[in-house]
Amino acid sequence: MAQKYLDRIQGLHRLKIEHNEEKLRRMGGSYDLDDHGWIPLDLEHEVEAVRDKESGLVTGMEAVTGTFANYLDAHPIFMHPDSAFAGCWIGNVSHMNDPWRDSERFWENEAMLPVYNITTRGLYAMNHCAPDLRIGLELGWGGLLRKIERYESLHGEDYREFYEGEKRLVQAIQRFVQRHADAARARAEQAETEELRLHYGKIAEICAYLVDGAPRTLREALQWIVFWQDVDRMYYNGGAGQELDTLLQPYYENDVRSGLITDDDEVTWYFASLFFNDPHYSMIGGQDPLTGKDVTSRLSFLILEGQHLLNIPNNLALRVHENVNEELLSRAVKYLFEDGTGVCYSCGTGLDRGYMRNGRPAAIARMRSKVGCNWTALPGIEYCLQDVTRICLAQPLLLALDDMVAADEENSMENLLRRYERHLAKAVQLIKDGVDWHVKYKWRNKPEVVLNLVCHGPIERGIDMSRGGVDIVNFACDATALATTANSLAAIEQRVVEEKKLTWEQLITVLKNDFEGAEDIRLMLKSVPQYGAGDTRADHYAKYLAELYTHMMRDTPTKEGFIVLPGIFSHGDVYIHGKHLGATPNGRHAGDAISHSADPDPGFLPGGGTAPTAKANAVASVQSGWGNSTPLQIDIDAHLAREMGGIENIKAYIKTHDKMGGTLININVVSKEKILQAHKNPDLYPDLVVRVTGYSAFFKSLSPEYRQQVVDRWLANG
Amino acid sequence: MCQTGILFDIQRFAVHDGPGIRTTVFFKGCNNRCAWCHNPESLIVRPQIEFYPARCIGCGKCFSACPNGAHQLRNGVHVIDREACNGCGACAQTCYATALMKKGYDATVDEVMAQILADKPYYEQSGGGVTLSGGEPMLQPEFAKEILRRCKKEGLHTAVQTAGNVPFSHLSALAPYLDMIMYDIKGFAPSIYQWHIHGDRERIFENLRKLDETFDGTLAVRTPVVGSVNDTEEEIENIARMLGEMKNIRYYQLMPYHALGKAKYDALDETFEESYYTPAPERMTHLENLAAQYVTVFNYTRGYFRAEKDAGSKRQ
Repeated sequence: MAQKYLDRIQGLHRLKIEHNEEKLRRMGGSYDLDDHGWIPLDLEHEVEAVRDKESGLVTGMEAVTGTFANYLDAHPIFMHPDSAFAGCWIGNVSHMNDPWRDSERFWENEAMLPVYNITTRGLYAMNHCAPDLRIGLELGWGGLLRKIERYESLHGEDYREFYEGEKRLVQAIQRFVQRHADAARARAEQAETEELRLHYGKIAEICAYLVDGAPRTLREALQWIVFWQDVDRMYYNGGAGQELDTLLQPYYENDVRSGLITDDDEVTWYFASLFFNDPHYSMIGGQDPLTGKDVTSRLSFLILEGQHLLNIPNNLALRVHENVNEELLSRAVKYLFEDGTGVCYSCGTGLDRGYMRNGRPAAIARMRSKVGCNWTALPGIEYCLQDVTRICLAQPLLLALDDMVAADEENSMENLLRRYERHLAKAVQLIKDGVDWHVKYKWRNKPEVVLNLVCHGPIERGIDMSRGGVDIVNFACDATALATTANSLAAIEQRVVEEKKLTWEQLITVLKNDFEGAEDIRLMLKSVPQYGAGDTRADHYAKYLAELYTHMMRDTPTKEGFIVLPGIFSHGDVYIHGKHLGATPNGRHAGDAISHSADPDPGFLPGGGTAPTAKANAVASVQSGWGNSTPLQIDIDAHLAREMGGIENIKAYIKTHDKMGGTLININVVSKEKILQAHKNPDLYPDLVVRVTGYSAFFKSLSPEYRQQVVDRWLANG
Repeated sequence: MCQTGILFDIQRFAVHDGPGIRTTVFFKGCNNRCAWCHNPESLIVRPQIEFYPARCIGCGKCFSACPNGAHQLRNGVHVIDREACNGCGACAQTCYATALMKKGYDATVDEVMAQILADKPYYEQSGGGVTLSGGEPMLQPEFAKEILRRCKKEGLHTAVQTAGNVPFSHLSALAPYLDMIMYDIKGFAPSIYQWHIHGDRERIFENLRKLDETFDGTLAVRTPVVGSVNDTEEEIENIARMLGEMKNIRYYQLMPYHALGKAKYDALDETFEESYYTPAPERMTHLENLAAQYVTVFNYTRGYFRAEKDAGSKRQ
């Protein structure tokens, strides 16, 4: 690596640490989210909200885009000597927290959601679909504006508000880009060194061109993406990117051919600068949709290298499949070992097979790109609302227990499960009804003004992507608390039904009292063979729950005919669902965290141990199988990373999980000693990055309870 | 044919017990008594009870569960009368706090195979397989043989870790079912066997020589390097020289002693020998380089290596 590029990338790494210190100060000491790339700067002036005349809220196309435009005009300009690109985002568009119009809120549904402990409800949610950035790269902002004007001319008055809104946004983005060009030019003129004059001069030239023009070079294309990322983030934290290698390969090849790029180190710096700007979820590797051949190229390696050298929270995925490029996978695992975190591994075999079950051809399934925390989506043609709808599998169990014991019927496992299924069905229906309501009213309240620009259909049809602007509409819902519920059912079956060490009434009593004065009973319930050990009753119940939930969610569409694809993923709901959940029969205290995604609980093997293979087998056994992800979270000890054969063993582990139908693997590599020290004193390791769930973050940035979650996983490793 | 044996653990995703991702089956019972052993629960054949007082919630159920009255209060302290305890595990079954844990259980070949086969796809992908360890797996030869036979039928790579203090017929009977033998030579000087290992030195050496002549799989030799016992140049050089005179030793591995077994000694009310220490990394490297004058050495971070013939003085 040429020293000048290495110096710049290391400068960006240090700058990120500095920014993070300031972000922590502004956020009150911690934040449990993805880093998101925002920079702690302030608006240049106050933002005036444009409000809907009828409701007085920032709802509807005119109010949303008007406010958005005002925000962009007030947004500060950012550029740095170490970054190849100008632009940043400092926070979400002001005044956007307004709810939907009163008359269009689903009040009845909102009242019922807490009964089933549904907090991440999908209804009212934003983004979480994949853009096709080719649209923007091919047209540029000017081309997009002209496209909007062309289609506006073909539509009638009813569509005017939509088109005027999108135009308003694009024009504001163009002003935003122009301000960067002006600022860069001013910096170039005032530069004290020739190097800086050239640096800012280049940025000024690129930005000035990109106000209207479509990118012609790799650097222009990436600068365009940087501006798009910033705008996408400002609008409700949009974070979906694209498969970077295939998207940008034509620009790279053209630049190399024309002699514009002579040094790949410069390209590595471009990507480090892109990842510094924002950790939008993006992907490398994977298969060509039509031929199925692996698409790995030289650019895939440069992208990976950029991420590795920058070494800050990042959300790049490598798509694994039967013929994955061995060298790219080896390199990714090597960097994982060196950095402690790295790409996540999106498993194409299970994902593609699952999505094809929905009646989609293999080529479409292969196009579904890993561009979200746990999720995949079709670039530009699918409205899917991934990762914002979750259902807690444990709450219906507590409701069923109460119902059964209170009712005048025999207390039995059969009756409990019958009542459980009834409650779960009600919770599933709540979600589905929310989907229908969402589709009906979302476009009138919070249209997808950014994604509409980079999808196939919304501009052509004059219809928001959430309302039918794109061709493929399928929704998503993720279940939580699988291990908590499976282990609870196994505990009831063994301790209450079979061994009769506890009556049903006693069970209800200790649960209501949160095991107060009954620690021996809590431990008795907790000590039954666990989900993940293999062939236990809890394993049986985990499969039962996964299949039951999958059938309920997928077999019947919503009343309006939309399908909802099931997965199992908890994200931050391990705490939120846990906080609202009473004590559970697996010995979990009320308010404690629930189990993590589909992972077995820490210490699930007999004797309290764990094993990565057993864990992966368990997660593979409960995949929903319809194309949505049920991730596997693994923490590998750093000692293994230093040993001969370590890379090969982890590669084999990843490939086996892919073969077994797994869908996503998140891996951390860190020593137990280091993680314990960092938990005790986060300041010791300000740049320690961990993959928390699907996203990665500075360990130091996490709240103590989130840090504890990571530490607990390590302690369970023995 | 014996279909049942006694084990004390089965570990999955074992990556230090042979090539690739493996499952290691730990046999209970050993006829050496290496004073530094980090698996004290592996030494005697019958099950034992480990007691971890810090986890005890004082429920008292173990007192009534024990048929032999082994759980007693002495001066207000909960102790186990080890003479009275026969390791039946009735107490551990009632101890949901896991303060009491039974170590050692009967397992059928079918049960062992079920656990082994659960990870078969990982072996196939990584070139891994199954390793029998212990304790001393060669002391349950029929049980071990049946597991290995079934593994070979499944096409799995098989390995054994043995200290070799058994009749050679035990080794030769299992050899046809083994792809690899990891053979421990824990010391060279007779005094080490007399005072620390308590095994039959001549038989152990002789068995290795016979294996070198007859075993057609991978034969590796390992030495736990224990500070104050065998961490001398003389010890390691003598072993390495002996190995260098053999024909089929694939590699020699030196493993530094660690004191991680202390908690288990305490839990079994057994005395942990404090006088041993972990050799410094530099010392290990020096001893490995010395051994590499005679035989190919393997180290997890350094890989396989052999010293150049004219690498200068053998001693520092």
